[in-house]
Amino acid sequence: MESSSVVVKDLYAKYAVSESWVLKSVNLAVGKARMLVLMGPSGCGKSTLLYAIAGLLPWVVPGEIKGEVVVEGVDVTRSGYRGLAGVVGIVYQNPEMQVVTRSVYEELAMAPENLGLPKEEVLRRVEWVVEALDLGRYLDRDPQSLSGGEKQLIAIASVLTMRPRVLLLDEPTSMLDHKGTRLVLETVEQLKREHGLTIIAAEHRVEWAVEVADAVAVMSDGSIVMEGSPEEVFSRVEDVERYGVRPPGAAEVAYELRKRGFEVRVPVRLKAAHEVFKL
Amino acid sequence: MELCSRVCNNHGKIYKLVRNILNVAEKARAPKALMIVAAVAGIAVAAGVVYDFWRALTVNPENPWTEFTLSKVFFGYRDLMFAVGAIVWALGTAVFVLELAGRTVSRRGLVRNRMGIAEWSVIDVALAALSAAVYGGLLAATAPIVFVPGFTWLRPANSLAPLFGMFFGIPGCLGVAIGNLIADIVGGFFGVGSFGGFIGNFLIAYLPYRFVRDHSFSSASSIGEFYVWGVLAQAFVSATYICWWLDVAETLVGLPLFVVWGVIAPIIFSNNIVVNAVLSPVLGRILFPLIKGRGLYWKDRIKAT
Amino acid sequence: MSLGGLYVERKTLFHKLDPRAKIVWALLVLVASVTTQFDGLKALPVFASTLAALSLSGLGAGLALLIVVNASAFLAAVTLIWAGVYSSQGVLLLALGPLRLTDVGLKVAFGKFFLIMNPVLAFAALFASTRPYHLMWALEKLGAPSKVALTFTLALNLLPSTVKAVREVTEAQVARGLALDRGGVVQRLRNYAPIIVPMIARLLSDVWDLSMVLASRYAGYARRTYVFEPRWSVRDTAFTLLSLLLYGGVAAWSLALW
Repeated sequence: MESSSVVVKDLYAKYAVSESWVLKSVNLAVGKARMLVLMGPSGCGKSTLLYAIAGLLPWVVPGEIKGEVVVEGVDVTRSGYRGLAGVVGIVYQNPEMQVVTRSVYEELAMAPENLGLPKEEVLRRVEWVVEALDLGRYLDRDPQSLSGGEKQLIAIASVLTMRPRVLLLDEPTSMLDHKGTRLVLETVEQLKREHGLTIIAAEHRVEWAVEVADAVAVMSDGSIVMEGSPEEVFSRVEDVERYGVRPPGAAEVAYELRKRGFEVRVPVRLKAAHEVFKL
Repeated sequence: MELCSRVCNNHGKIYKLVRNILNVAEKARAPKALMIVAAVAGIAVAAGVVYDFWRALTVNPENPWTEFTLSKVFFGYRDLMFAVGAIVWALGTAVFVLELAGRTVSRRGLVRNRMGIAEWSVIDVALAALSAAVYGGLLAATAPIVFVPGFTWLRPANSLAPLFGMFFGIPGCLGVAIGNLIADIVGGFFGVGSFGGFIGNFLIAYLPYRFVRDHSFSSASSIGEFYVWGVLAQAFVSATYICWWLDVAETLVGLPLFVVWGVIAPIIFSNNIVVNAVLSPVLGRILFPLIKGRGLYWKDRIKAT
Repeated sequence: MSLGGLYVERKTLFHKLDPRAKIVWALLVLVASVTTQFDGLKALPVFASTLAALSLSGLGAGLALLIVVNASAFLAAVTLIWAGVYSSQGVLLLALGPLRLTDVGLKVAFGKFFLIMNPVLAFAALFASTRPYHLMWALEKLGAPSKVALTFTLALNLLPSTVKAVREVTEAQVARGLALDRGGVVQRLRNYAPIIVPMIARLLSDVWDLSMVLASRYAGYARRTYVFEPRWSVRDTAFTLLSLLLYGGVAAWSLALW
C-alpha cells in the first residue's frame, strides 16, 4: 500500500473573523505523486483547506485549527509553514501579488535565497527550473510586464525552486484569460507527468480535472462530501450538481439522455464520451 | 468680490462640515464637551489657515509670505522655533528608534509594544510595504491642489498618513515614512532634506496611533482626540521636526532660513492641518469598519497573537 | 508627475557600476556642492558631471530640465533670496527696484542653486541605475534591519503597479462625473475620497495575498543569500578614483580661495 504524502484527519479550521468553523471534520489522504483536485462552490472551504495544509492558517492568517495535518511526515499543526520549507509549495489565485521583484531571474531565485542556501545551489535550482519549464525567453523580462498566465507560470516556477515534494494550487487560473489558463494547466500536467510531485489543486475547470486528476474531492459547507476517482465522482451527476459543481459536459449530456429514457453510460472523460456517443 | 465670495463659500462648506461632525457627536452615546470643542477648534484652525493665506495673497500677491501669519510666526520667532525644534527632533528621533526596537515610553517606563521590527511577521512586512506603495503612489500620481504654483499646494494623499498609523500601528507608521521617501525618489527630489521628511512623516502617523484611544471615528471622543493629535499636534511636530533638520543642515541643503521657516514650515503645517482636518475623518469613518472586518486593525492583531 | 527617479532597466556603464561606488560618488557630489556653494562658477563642473551621469544612467539629461521646470518658481525664489542676502557685497551688476544683483550675490545664488540641484540629480541617477535588489543589499550592508530593507524594496517594486492602479481609478471616477478641479478647497479635497477609498480597499485585499506569498517564499526565514551580490571590479575602482580626483579637485579649488 503506497504511503500517503498528505494526511488530514478530523480537521476543523476557522479564521479569526469567522464566527463558526469554516472546515468541519475534514479527512483526506493523498498518495505520493498523485493529484487530487478539490472542487466545490465558492466559500465551501477549498482555499482554507489548502492554507491549513500549507501551514499558513493560523501562522500567517489568524485563526484556529484543530485536528491533524501531516505532510511528508511533518506535523503541520505543530510546525506551521516554517517546518515545511522544501516540502510544500503553494501558488495562489492572484498573479499580480505573486510577482514582487523587477526581474524574472530575481523572482525565481527569491525563495532559495531566503532559505539561505549557498549561491551555487541557488543558481543550480534556478537553472533547473528554467530548463524544466522552458522559461529562457522570460529571463530578461520585467515580471510586472508579463501577462497573467505568464505571471502564474513564473509563480509556479518560483515555488519549484524550493524543490517541494507537494504542490498546492489555489485556483491558479480563476483570474486568467483562456490563453493564460491553458499555459498554466499544461504546466501543471507537465509537473505531474515528469516530476512526480504530489499535487492538490482547487480548480473549477471540470473537463481538465477529469483528464489529469487521480482523485477528486467535492467540498460543500466545509466538509468533503464526495471523494473518489473522477469516474466515481462525476458519474453521480445528480449528487455533484446538488453540491454546486458542474459535471463534465459529456456526463451532463449522457445524464440528460438517460433521464429521457435512453440507455447510455455516463462518460466522464472525453475519450469515453467518444465511445458512448459513437453512432 | 470674487475672492470674498470664494472665502465665504469655503466658510459655508466648512460650516456644513462642522455641523456634520456635531451631528455625529450628538448621536454619540456619551457626548464629551471637551472632545467636541477640540473637533471644532481643529476645524476652526484649518479654516483660519486657509482664510489667512487668501488674505495674505490679497494684501501682497507678489510675496504673500511676508503677510501670512504662520510665516511671520515661524520665521519671526525663529530662535524659539529652533529651540523647540531641537527638543522635538531629539524626542521624535528617540521615539522612532525605540518604537522600531519594540519599546514604547509609557507611565510605567519603557514597555514592549509587540510591534518592533524584530517581532514583525510577514503580515507586518506586507502591511508596511503596501502602505508605503499606496501612500507613495498616491503622492506621486495624484496632482496636488495648487494655490501658488511651485509654492503652495495641498496634497490629498497626506490624509492617509495619520490613518495608516491609527489602523495599522507601527508597520503603518513606517510605511508612511518609506512612502514619503519613495515619493521623493520618484519625483526626483531625494536629497539630504529627505531624511528629515522620513522621520517627520513617521511622526505624523505615530502621534494619532499613540494618543488617540478610539480609532473608529464613530464617537465624539474619537473625533475630538483625532483633531487634537491627528490634526493639530502632528502638524506642529512634523513642521518643526522637518524644518529644524533643514535649518541645521543648511550648509548641506542650501535653503535660506527664511525659506525654511517662513515658507516650508507654514506649508507643511497648513497642508497637514487642512488636509487632515477635512479629509481624514471622512476616510477614517469609511475605512475603519473595512479594516476591522478584514482582521487588519492592529489592536485586534496584537490580541490575536 | 513623472516617475523619473525609479529604476530604469538599461545596460549602461552606470548600471554596471557597483552600488557602493555610486553611493560614494553621490556623496562626493554632495561634498563638492557644499564646498562650492558660495561660488556657482566652481559648481559648474559638478553640475556638468551630474548631467553626464544622468545621460549614462539612461534617464537622459532632460530629466534635470524637467526637475528644474517642475520646481522653477521655488528654485527661482530661493536663488533670488540668496542673491538678495549678498547684495551688499561685490560689484553691482543690476538694480531693479529693491532687487540689487551683485557679482558676489550672483555667484552665491548659483552656488546655492547647484547645492540644491546637484545632489538631487546625483541621487536620481543612483536610483535610476541601481536595481531595487541591489538597494536592498546595500541597505543591509549599511546596517538596516533586513525586514526594513525588504519592506523598502517591495514598496519600490510594487510602486509602478500601484501608480497604474491610481491612474485607472482616477480615470474611472472622472468618467463617472468626478470633478477634481472644481469647487472650493474643502470640496476639492473631499473629491479625492472616491479615489482613495478604492485604493485602500485594494490594499486590504492585497495585504493577505502578499503576506502569504512572502510566507511561502520564506521571507525572513534565515540570513538571506544574495546570489547577485555586486562584485567590486577594476571599473569601480577607476570610477571612484576619478570621482575623488574630480570632486576633490573642485573642493580643493574652492576651499583654497576662502
